[in-house]
Amino acid sequence: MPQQTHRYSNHEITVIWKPSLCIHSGRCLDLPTVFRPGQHPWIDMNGGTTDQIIRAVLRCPTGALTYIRNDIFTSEPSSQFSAAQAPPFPIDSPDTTKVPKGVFPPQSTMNGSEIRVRQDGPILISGNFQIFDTSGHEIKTLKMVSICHCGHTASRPFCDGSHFHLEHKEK
Amino acid sequence: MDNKTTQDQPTRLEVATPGPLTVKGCFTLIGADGKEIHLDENAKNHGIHLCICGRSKHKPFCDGSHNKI
Ligand code: SF4
Ligand code: FES
Ligand code: FES
Repeated sequence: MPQQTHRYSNHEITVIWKPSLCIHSGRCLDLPTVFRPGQHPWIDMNGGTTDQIIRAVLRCPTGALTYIRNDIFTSEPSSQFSAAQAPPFPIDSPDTTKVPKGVFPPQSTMNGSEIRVRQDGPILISGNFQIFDTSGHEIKTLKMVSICHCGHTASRPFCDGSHFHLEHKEK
Repeated sequence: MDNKTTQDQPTRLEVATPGPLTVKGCFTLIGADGKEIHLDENAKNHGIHLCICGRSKHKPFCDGSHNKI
């Protein structure tokens, strides 16, 4: 099944967002002028410098956000990218050699797991963990999950991004 | 049930509806301010309860408010 992708460009880079991988961890929201949940388009490439955007993209823990430099395109990338079209480049192999060390969240540096609580957002769990329901059945998950903390998700126990809308309403 | 939680055992999380989320074992808890919330090892082995219903007045911890839903 082809993964749905959305692309957002400025004159230097194109940010690729794969909704199916986004766990709404909100790491990208450290750059709120660019990453604006609830708005269309939710990524505003004019909201920050290319450098800032790259740094925010690298903070995404799930790979939902990646970027490529526009100069590898032979033609101008269009910002209206249809999901049915195959991307003109291998989006699943970002050039990890270029990634500055220490930018990624520390993950396997310890035993056990890391449980990170976000203000008005989900509880982010990474590392070595297992999740069970009350009857003791294991809930199979990805290596990193976000558990809804606001009580409004439609896909309990996981965060589905509903807290974004909540924040907006409360404002 | 084993009573000792060793370092390399996965953290055990239990989700109850509407809450709480019980976290047991070896883990690091980081609060909304990005700082680690230090917890007693004993408490960790017994399990701590995090609010997942959104009602707690003592977030991130469960304060029993989920019962009022
Ligand atoms: S997974 Fe998190 S950091 Fe990545 S795009 Fe989704 S919200 Fe942003
Ligand atoms: S915390 Fe994200 S939907 Fe509740
Ligand atoms: S889960 Fe107990 S108060 Fe929210």
